[in-house]
Amino acid sequence: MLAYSLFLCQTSTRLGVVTLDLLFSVRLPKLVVFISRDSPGERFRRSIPCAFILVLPVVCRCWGVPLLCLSAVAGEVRFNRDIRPILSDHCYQCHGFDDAERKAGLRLDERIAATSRLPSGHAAIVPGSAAESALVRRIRDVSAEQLMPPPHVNKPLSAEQVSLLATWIDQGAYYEKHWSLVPPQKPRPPSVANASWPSNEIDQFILARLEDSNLESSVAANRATLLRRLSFDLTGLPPTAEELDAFVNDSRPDYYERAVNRLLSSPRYGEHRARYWLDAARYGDTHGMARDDERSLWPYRDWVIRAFNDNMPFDDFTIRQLAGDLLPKGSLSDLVATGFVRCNVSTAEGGSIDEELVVNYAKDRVETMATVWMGLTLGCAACHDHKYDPLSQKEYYQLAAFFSGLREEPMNGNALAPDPVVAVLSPDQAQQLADLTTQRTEIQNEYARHVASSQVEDFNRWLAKSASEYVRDHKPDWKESPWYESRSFKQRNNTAIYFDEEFSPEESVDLQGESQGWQERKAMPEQGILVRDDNVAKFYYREWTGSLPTTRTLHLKSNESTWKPVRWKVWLNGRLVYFKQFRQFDVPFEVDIPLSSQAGTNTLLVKASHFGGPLRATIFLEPLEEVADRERETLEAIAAASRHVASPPQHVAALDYYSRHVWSHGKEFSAANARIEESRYKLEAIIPVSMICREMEQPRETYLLQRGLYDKPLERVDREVPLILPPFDGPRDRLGLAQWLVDGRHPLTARVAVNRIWAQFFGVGLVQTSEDFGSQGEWPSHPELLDWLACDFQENDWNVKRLIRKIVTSATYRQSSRGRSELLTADPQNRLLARGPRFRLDAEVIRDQALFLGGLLVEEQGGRGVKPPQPGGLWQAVSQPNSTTARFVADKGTAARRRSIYTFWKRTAPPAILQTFDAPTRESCIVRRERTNTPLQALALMNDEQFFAAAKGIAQRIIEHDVLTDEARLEWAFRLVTARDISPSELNQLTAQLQRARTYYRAHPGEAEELTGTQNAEEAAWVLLANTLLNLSEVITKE
Amino acid sequence: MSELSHITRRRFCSSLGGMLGTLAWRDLQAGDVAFKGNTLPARAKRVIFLFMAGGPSQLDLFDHKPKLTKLHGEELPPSIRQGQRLTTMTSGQSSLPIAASPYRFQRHGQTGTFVSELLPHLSEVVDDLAVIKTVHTEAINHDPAMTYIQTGHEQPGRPSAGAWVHYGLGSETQNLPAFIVLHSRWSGSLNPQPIFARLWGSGFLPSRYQGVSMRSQGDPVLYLSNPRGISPAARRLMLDGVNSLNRTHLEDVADPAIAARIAQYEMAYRMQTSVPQLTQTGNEPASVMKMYGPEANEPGSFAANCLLARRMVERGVRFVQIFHRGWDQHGNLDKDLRLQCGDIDQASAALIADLKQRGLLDDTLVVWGGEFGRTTYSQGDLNSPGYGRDHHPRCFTMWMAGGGVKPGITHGETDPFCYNIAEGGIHVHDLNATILHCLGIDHEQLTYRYQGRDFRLTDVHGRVVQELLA
Repeated sequence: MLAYSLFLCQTSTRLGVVTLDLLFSVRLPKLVVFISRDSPGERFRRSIPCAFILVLPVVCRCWGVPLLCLSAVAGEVRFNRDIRPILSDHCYQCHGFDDAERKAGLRLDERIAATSRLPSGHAAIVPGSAAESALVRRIRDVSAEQLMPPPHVNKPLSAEQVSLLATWIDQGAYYEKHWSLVPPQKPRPPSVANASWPSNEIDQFILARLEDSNLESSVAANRATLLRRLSFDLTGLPPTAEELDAFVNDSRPDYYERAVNRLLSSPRYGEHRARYWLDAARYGDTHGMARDDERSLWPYRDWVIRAFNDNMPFDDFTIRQLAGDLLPKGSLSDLVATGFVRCNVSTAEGGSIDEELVVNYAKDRVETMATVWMGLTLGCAACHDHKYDPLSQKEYYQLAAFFSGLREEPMNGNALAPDPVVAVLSPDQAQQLADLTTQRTEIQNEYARHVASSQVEDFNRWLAKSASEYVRDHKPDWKESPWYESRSFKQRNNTAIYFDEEFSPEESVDLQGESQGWQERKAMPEQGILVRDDNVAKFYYREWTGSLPTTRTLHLKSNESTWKPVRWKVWLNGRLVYFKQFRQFDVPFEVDIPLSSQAGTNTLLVKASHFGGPLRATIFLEPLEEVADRERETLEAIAAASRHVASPPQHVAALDYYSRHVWSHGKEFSAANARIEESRYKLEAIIPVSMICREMEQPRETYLLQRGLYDKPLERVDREVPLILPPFDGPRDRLGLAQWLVDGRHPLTARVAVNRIWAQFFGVGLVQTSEDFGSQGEWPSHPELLDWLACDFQENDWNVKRLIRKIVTSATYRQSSRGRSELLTADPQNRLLARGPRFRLDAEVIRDQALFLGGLLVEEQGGRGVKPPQPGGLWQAVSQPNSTTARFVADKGTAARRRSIYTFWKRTAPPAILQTFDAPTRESCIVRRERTNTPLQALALMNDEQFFAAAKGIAQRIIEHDVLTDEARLEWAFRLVTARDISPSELNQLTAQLQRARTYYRAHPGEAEELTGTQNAEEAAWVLLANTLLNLSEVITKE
Repeated sequence: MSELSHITRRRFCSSLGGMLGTLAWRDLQAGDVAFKGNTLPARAKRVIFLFMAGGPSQLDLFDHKPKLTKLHGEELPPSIRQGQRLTTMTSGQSSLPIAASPYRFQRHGQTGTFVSELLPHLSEVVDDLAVIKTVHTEAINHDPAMTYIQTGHEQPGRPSAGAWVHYGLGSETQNLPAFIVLHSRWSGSLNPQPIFARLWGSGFLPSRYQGVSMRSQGDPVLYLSNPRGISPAARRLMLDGVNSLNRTHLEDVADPAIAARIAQYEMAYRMQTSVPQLTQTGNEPASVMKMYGPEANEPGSFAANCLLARRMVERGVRFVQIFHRGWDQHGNLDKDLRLQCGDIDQASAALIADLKQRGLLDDTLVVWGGEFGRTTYSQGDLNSPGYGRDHHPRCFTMWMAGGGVKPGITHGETDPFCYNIAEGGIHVHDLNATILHCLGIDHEQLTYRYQGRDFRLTDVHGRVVQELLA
């Protein structure tokens, strides 16, 4: 409350109400006591702040001053809390760390410099004597030309700020290192007067501050409200009626902890937690720039969800995302985690300059890393030394250099998954693959059994009875067609997993018809094929006939060093016998494919698909003459064996041929093996991929860039961390960087992480500016609590669920959120937490809840982004027509009704319903969402297709519910949407509302029919009632 | 503040006591004017920005370079190019031959401003325009260049100009969004460059300041129409129930956000009437429809959007942004440029004339232009009819009209090759600074604290171009 008086003083000064200013700075502390104790003089005194409140909101919005100022006026002035914010905001621009911008040689961010004698002969600060300090003279009692800060910069100091600076100097002008750069020490939780209230340490810190401010905590929220709050906070969904009943009636002493445990172990927990992280990670399902084509990175999204559900410690979580590819024993999952680094927007816009893109991507990555883990606004140092924090421009590029080794092409080629990527099997696919391996082992074992039991015997019998006949009837007499080449089949898009669109030749080859456009190839593909067109598939076809079964080799090769992905498929006699996806780093490539040629006609179909630019390759089919020469020898060997005159090699050759092409068990084995191989290829062809990190052997060189411009490199810089942070002694790569962030000495990482999690529960962080822990950031509302939580988090192995359990089991969290009149003035933003948190639910929760209440939500986990319906034309309005995301086609069925975390995120036109409720675009890192209240939100809640479907779903549930009276139905429905029991007044209102709706629809049966498909006014009335319920403020608010 | 006419302050204040009422008031106010730094006299109250996405060819439309005819086909002298960077689309081209404009230019109006034959209607209103031949930018590709001119930064993440203006000046209407974006059909390239929601986004400003895309098909504003079976009367009935229960809850839990929400529901309800009134142009007199041309009857055409823009500013919309895509003539310059000009010529001229005849031009600022210009040399073989021009950031033409801008002037000169600026260069930051100035906003004072820094539309740059001001 002391702070409040300061705030009013600042406010009034700006308004020029100087006399009141003086009055308040003296009297308000007392006034607070009057208000909270309700003493006789109250009415008179209360009227004074009321008058101020009328102007207060406008002013505080204008100047960005938080409603609750977190400093003190009386007593000792503390540099970090009281002085640094003033110097930073009003002085450092010209008298700070950035020596390029420094004026008059004066530097105020360091005590030695600030107290030294200046060229003018004065000292800005004379410790112990404000009167002698030039600084004090220049901020008061001087002409406009002399006044600091200069009036034109529009950052005048308030009288209170002036007096604080003077007091500070009088008290010795002691500096402190910026609080967030001093490693946290775990403080002892303070003792409190009301010792029975705290449930855990959090409450001691909160209550101590409340007691200091003469504020009382609130009563505990009722159980129903509490379970609803807890369910939203831990899972993003409301509780069911059954869960409510169980919770409300649970008489066990640990009923609350049990509910917490149940919710923490729900798979919904990870889906909800991941949502916040994906804003910070700037995750999206498109590349975000220029054509904004789809990108395949969703396995990373699923990784984040799983990591939260598995309660991965935050240090591991950090290391894997920043450097999973560099871990010595990194798994597939660790590779997928590095998708974090690749989440930045990228482009393939024609005309772009590679060097510029490399710089842009590196900037995005380093700034995101700095915001997410350190709460540092590093971006300020891209063009010049940081104005407010001691971060030099050189340090910016040294830190960026950690990201200089990524092996990626600057232009993303509009590919679905620009390299480097990794194939990621779903559990289902992994099972299928395992099954195929098992099957293969089984048939191999079976074949081995046959070999052991009867191979030699059968061979000898064949040699004796049929071999000479076989040699007589089978000759290497093959004849073959020329090669044919199909027309180019334009792939409509590359949004299928890779570019695997199927075309008619795969069904059946029609050499005569026009649609496939077959042409005889004059030059053999052995001499090379060239597919000129962009993003097409081309087919090559050949057939041959002969009486002798054999094996013929197909050889595919490309020497071209291209970054374009290429995909090959080969069918022999209608069966897929080869599949391979080559990516940009696999080329040049070369592969031999053995083809089992049968007696009679053989057909060979080769498909080459590629993306981007021309493809050059050769398709080399072993010449028949060579096959004939080889098999002539085999036939001779068989003949010799049948006459018992074979040499040992001839005998082996004869047995081998017999086993493959004659022996029934051998042929069965080949056929079974081919079937399994085909299944495996088909599976491989649809296995999704995810963008990951890979390091180049030689990283790109990083330069300090003049004004941040890519084409103005100055000196070359090496990987290094900023001087103000702990020393770096690990390997100089991303892994070393990640380990350095979480090695326990870092002053920022844990504080920033716990602060962000705290904000998820209380709506605002202990440091309100979650993204800025620097001098321009806000002083924490509870510095000791923040440090305690940070230390506790680190000491307990960065255990996220433990931290969250600590928060939600605190008495602070469990308070009622009901507003109290004294709090409306003393702490309107609830920073002191004299009541529980109350704020509008986030976009995803609002949508998910509606589907859930309407009985529509489909809880299926993971997979490619889904497209719930949205108003038409939103993608088209912004897209280039040939983009893979030019046209929005809504998913049907269950895919349309999944949780919003799975909604496909096109970054140049984000999901409309989510954006309406303040979801960011995901183009850049966001660690704090805005929370607004707009008419467009009202329209969405009233009219959006899915919200209205949810209302119909609720109406249906009401009607089907096994109670019959209106009253019972309304009570049930109200509890469904709010979790609490309806009050008599509310029941009256709803009953009247229902009656009005009935009357209306009885009078308008046509509208009832439009609404429900029947003229039944009863059903229509319930739909309107459900629509009413879903639009209640309480329903979209965490109470 | 005006948003509140239906929910009176008294109603807030009466039931809850002064504190809560006032705080609710604050919550709503925050939705309106957040910034009070406009100390300058405002000449313009609102802006209509006609954005030609893709980069119109300045030397085929406004920047007349008669001397190039003689040099047609000759190599661009290195002394002019000065080795500065080209896009990779022509940096590999072995020759950069000068392509003189094939179009006839004539002087028009009292002021004798040169305009190409492709823009016959605009030629008739040149006396109202300030033609600026020397706008320049650093970005050489569409995505960064559009993002730059619209948000003051080449990378995504900053608020758009319209969002800044909305934030700075608030809303003048209680029935419509303050910042509206319209998308137009185009006739040129079938595969034009994309645009991005960030071009009208709010960046780090609260999202209430973002532009509302008004659509020509379906609901003009997202989710505006009631579902089937919900008539306006039923909607009113439902809203009364919602409001009544919300008020009950407000009294119970004393959360000012509830009061604000009640007001927003009322505004939503009003929009359900006011937006269709806005978009139904059937009652416009025939004379007006004739001005805008026959396409004005086709929703989604540039002409229909210009007409809508006028109706919007009449109703107090602060910032209207019309996008017209397809100006990226790397090839087929002649064919496509004619089509593009055909889309916009008559309607933009009509917009100026229509605003003027209603007295609205005095306090409405109209801005026309794209993200950069096009090269004087050809992209592709100059002898084939399919040649075009590459991106050119070093000088391009925009025009402004009304709202505090000096009419009938031509500002700046480019060199005879239309390659470099000879005098009077106006950077895109200067342009934005000048637009804000016309609106009474000092671009250095319009700031928002984010990540510890006070951000501006003009970053740390920008100069108000006094020469353009009336």
